Amino acid sequence: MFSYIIRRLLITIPIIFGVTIINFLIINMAPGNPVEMMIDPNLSQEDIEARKDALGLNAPLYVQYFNWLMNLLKGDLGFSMSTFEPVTQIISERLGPTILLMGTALFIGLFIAIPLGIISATKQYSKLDYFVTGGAFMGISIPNFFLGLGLIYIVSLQLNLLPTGGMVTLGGDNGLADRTLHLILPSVVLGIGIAGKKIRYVRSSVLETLGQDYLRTARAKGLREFIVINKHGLRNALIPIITVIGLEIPLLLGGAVIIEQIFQWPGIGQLTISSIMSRDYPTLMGLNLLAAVIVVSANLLTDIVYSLVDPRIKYE
Amino acid sequence: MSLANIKHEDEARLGHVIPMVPESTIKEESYLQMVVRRFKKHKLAVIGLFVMIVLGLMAIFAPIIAPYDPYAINETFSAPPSPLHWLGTDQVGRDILSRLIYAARVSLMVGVGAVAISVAIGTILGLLSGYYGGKIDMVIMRLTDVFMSFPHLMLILVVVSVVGPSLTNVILVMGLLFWTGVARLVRGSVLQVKQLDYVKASIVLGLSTPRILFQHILPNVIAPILVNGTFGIAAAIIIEASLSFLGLGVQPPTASWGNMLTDAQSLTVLSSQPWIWVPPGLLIMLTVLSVNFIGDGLRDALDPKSIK
Amino acid sequence: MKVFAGSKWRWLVFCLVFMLVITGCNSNETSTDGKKDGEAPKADKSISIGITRSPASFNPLDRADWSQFYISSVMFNPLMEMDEDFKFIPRLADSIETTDNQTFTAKLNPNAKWTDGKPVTADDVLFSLEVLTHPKFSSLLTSQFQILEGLAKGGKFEGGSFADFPGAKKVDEHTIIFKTQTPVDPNVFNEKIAANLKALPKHVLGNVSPDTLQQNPFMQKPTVTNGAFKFVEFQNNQYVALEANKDYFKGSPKVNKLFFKIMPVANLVAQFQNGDIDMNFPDIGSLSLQDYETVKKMNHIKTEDGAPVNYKLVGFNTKSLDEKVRQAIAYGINREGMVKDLLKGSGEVSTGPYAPVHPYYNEDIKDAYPYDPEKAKELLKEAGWDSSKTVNYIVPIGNQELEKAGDLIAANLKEVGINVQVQKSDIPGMIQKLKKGEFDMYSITFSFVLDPDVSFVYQSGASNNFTYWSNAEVDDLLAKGLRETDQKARKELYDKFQKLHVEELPEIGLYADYRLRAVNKRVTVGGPKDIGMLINVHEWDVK
Repeated sequence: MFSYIIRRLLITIPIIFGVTIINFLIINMAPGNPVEMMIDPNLSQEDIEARKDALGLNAPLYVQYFNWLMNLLKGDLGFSMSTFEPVTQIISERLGPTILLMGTALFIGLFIAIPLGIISATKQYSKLDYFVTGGAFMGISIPNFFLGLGLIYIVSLQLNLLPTGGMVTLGGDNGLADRTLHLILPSVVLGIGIAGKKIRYVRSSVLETLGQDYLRTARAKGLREFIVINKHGLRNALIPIITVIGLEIPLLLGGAVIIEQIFQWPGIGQLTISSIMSRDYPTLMGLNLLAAVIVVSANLLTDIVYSLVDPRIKYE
Repeated sequence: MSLANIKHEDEARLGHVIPMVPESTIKEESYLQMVVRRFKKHKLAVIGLFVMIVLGLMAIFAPIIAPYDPYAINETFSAPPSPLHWLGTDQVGRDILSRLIYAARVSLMVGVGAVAISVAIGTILGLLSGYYGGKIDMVIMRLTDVFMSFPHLMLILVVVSVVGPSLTNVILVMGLLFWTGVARLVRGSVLQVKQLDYVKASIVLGLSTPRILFQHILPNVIAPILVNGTFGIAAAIIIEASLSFLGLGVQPPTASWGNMLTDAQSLTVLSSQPWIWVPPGLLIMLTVLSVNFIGDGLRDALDPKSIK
Repeated sequence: MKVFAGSKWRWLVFCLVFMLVITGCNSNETSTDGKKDGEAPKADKSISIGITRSPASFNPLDRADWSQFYISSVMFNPLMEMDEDFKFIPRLADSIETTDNQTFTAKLNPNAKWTDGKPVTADDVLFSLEVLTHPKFSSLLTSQFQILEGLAKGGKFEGGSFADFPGAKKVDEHTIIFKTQTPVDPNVFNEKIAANLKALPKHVLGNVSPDTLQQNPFMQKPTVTNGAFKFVEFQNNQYVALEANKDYFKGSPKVNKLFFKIMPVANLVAQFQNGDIDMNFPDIGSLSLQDYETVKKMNHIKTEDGAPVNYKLVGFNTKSLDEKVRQAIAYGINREGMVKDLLKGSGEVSTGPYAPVHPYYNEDIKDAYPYDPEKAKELLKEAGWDSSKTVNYIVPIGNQELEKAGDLIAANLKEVGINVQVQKSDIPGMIQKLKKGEFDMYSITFSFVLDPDVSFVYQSGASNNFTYWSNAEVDDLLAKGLRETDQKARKELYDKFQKLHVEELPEIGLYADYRLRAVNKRVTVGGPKDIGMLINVHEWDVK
């Protein structure tokens, strides 16, 4: 097991290295540069060239990449080309809100999906089952920006119940209640999407477990159905779901881009869009590196957890 | 995939590739007939198929069906629905119904185009990787890992802003990014199929590699590819809509359901001009839902384990 | 259902704990202002301004974006600032005087103080100038200063020690004499030098090397400032919080707090509605046209049309479209209709290279190129236009009306027989295409500049000449205009230039819009302006 983890970690390094090279090339292929952000007849070419020199943008690409890589090895992701703040600082400021949003969304998603999936499986082919499965399909199929806009329209504009966006009310008390109110809409939108996907996994996973021989044995022993399902069924049914949660993280990162944009959530997604718009190369490189690391470690972690909960899985 | 499954598809292959075996058609229905029969049992999938056929016809015959030129500017801007314009006009006075109809072309082209590219790439790489194994397998799988380590939407956003937002670019970018799932799927199936006796026999017989790959192995993995591809279409349609919504996808004046929703970012439009944003949103949902149902129906129909 | 009662409760408890943990751990990171004292909210007067672009930093010596420029001017006063009547109002300087249009004597306000109590002196102003012109410091403002004696083209001082700089000398603690290379119109001096020069505290930053000054944390969180409000907090893309500088030398501000709230254009309306913002900032927080009516209907909001200082043009690639075709396009675009239907009347048709309110605007060109599709077709025929040719038209994204105007223009031109392919692009992408000449037409926004000199845009081969227009007479007029200090003679030169511009038509103006100014009625003093909005920010007050 230990050697397996070590080996997986070692494989990870060239993958991430490859990702950074590809990212660097793609980002630098973008037309335009971070200095020319406005068309302003007052902006002289001399100023632009001077700024480009100062930012190192006039050096050959491989030199720029090499410099970036060397700094990375020192733990330095460089300075943003638009705000001149350290990239690590910018990203860490934005990471908190995104984790909060993603965590809550994942929680809401599972909170909907696990009970509904179980009910749906235990009452297979009932009206309720069809209803839940149909609802799950709706959850997958509705574009999250449309759902987001719809909820803003109904809940915020018509009913005036929740704020339309942001993370806190400015000048307000910034209390827990205020934060929670702001968190509800975006996390529910993301959560519904997750629930849509997870309900079907939970349902089929539970169905499969319920058909296993040991449950029949348990029933035959005369155990109550409640105990059969809860004690014996669920534990085994939930194993595959853990894997699926791990796989969800990269998707969540992507989904957060749009939701953060609509709800002005000051997280990683919003930062990504604004860095693309301002051609902020160092910040984009940092963001992509972070994303790659998250995805790779999510995959790794999933495999490890999976092997821990299911001793049948062996690694040479 | 269980052994029973493979055996079944093995028969399917026989029924497919060598249709002149008479007994099988007399005694039992062909594989295709069975799939159709099972697919029909999935009511929602049938409805989904029907909807998609209607949308497809709408896209093909858009110039005949649409009441107006989708680019033509009419007298009134942001006009509510009226007998003249059934769904009203948008903010530069274009007929919304006509734009919706034309936009169906974009969504379908993106869905089918992106999936066709990604399935082609994924299948070839998966076949090579699974069949040859060894170093080739290693290289292809590491490449797959690299591609899977990008959060897709973020990467698409960056790439599209690099190559410039347009319909073709959106299709290409998605096609070039989404092959990893198919590649892994195909590789897994190939590894299993390779162990079957008749494949081993073909290798011993000295049949050419492409022939073994495409004639003997590929038919066995078509079912999962088909299901995967259908869900891929749904995903591609949603992603195109999201990109266009953010202004990084299909660009106006070309109509796309996603970019028709962009205006709804304004709270004024959102609250007082619902005819501008509700119809395209509903159409995206309907389309994706239909495709997903078809995918679900196909999965049930193609997977013998799920006989109801 | 009963069977699940147990697990359900477990979930619920888990859920609550989870919620508490995640919301709890975050509460420290993002609290808006540390103060939670028992002050009654009424005594705590504040004004919130809605803007749509986050400032890059508060570096007073740079202009990477206009939010940075304006917000830093609240904390660091420039010497002078232009108001809506194009007059220069004293800020850090009490007066700037000249007798020969070449030496300018600036008297600083003797009461000006840094927030740490030290006086603002000529040394601080010269320190700023030293940094700005330092070869190792990069600022997008530097070349504005190149008219000063001793500076190279581009505004860098390459003559060694700054003590030898001939362009500016300290006379006493509060007096500086500036010297320009050639005599200039005093307005040029004020606009380029006085309005851009803000003092940095030399006693705080004097030891920082100019090449690392941009990255210095001071630029993100300025600790020592001299303006009406001082820095409290900045959350990127969310808000800038400032608080009153009680010791401000022009008088203690009437409100305690000033917020700049950053949001997408679309959200300004809702924030007006629920009172989260008190006013917009036309230059960096312009409302979307479709929202004008909604805001005008709000009872607690006072609105008025802005001045047409911001204008849009369509530029042509003069190498790919010849003069007749350009004129045909100008006749083929329904600009009157655009103003009426797209802008809903909130604007006016503009022609020529200057804003319609510009003091140098040539009234004679005003009505050139009325909408006349027949004439357009005729001109195209004369030019032998090949109707199968596609015109590649770049439209920058970001301004919704301009994007829609692009669609309208394409539809208009289709009617006269020109096949236009609209290509949307963000600004950096667009600039690259313009530089490479890969286009036939583009849309562009120009903002108001008082000095009529436009040689870097229209002179042959100039760095910002994206139309590739080349006309010897124009080159000559612009060169003369630059040297002329007599305002009347200057106007004549630029009138001739504008006539040539409209005849040869490297660009056709589209419209100048009246950007809506909206302000909450609870604000008694202060409100949105197109120019010099923050000059009297210390006098702003609320009910």
